[in-house]
Amino acid sequence: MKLVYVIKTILQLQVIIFMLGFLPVSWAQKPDTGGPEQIVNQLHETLLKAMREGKKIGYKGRVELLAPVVGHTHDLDFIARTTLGANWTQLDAEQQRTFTDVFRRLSIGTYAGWFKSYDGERFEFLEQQSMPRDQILVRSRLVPLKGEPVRFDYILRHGKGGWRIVNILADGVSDLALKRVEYRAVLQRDGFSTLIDMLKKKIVLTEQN
Amino acid sequence: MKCNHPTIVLLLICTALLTGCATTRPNDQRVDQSIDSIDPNEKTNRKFYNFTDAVDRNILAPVADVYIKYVPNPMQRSIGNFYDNLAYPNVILNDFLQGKFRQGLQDSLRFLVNSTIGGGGLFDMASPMGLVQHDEDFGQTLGVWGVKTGSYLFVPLIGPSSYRDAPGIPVSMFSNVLFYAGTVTSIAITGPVAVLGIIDKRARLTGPMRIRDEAALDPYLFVREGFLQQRKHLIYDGDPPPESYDDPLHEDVVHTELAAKPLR
Repeated sequence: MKLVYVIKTILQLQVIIFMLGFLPVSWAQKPDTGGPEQIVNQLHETLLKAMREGKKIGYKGRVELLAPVVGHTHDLDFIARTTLGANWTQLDAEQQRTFTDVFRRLSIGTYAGWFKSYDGERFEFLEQQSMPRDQILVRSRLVPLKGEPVRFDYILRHGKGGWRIVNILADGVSDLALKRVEYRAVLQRDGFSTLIDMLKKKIVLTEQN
Repeated sequence: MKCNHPTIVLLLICTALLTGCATTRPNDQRVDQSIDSIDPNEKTNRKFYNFTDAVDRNILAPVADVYIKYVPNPMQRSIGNFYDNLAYPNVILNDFLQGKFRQGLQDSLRFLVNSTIGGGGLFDMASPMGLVQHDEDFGQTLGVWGVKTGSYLFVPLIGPSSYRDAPGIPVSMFSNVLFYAGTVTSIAITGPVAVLGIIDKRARLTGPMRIRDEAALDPYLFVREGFLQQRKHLIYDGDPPPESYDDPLHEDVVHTELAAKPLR
């Protein structure tokens, strides 16, 4: 009788373990198109498409392809505002609109300028981690056919429209932190119109890249 | 790659000069000089940066461009491997100093394999054997030991550094095989080898330099911030814990109270 009891217990345990084993799978199977990882994937797929079709569609074509996806996957208004930090509130509404618009065009232009040709590269998802203040970190890398992979880490936050990218780190270098230091220095040293002029010149450069 | 004594003397002078700047400038002036306190010597650093940039644009960059254009890629790779291998004892030394004994042994084996069957370092035979290349130096070791970055430092002709990373410059020189080759062979041999090493190093920086020229509004600040962040990334061997990421979003909350200067 004791033996039967032991076998029964083991079987029950196995059923529980079996079910537990399936739990994460069934969670993952839930159609979740707006999770942090999916948002990053959407961006990566579009970047790869821009690279594959890069030569055919040209710079303008890549901008048209990337603009809606970058707009959807990034919280560009938030990034623009955060880049200027405390200086943002010192701009009037018109200046804020101008800056956000130029910033948006530069961000899309930068992607279109860099991701323009394909040579067997692929993006690899590494992991997803929770960060302080309800943010999520998605770690990934761009693996070229030859040479060293480049790490791309994304920080996402949940806003009104769902999860959105608010910062990108390429091999540990934060795009937001870099721009923040530069933009603020230019703004305080040379003023708003110089900053806008410089950014517009950079947009032109992304096309010539 | 420059393994001569004048360089070290120059370095010491620079450090002394910069330390002097740091101690004589009253704290309240710093607000006018820079946004944050990481770079109290910004004025001097900018001069060194501009000088190095002028030398780079007029001499090194054109030479590196010719090298990239005319030397075939496999040869460039072999030359790069050769210099990486000469400098690899620095990685091994710092593996052990950081307590990474397993990695230290692997890197010693890597150095041995590449120096012998790798044709004196020209061919990376160790990577396919699973002995991958690591990136360690004395600045990272000090970081692992808990030493803070200290102030930013731009070392003329050498590049971005910090109070924590500058001691790594002599350490990397003394641990470079080329330094000892100089004591046993004539300058006629080590001189050109050292010069080629500089060209190789500069050629490998062409990518990052191009990004700087395309993206930077203020190249000095771009290089400074990029360098400081990448160093941090390296100290964590490319996997910093989520808490260690600088959070510009959070900084806003902290710094909003510090009123920004009126804009022009």
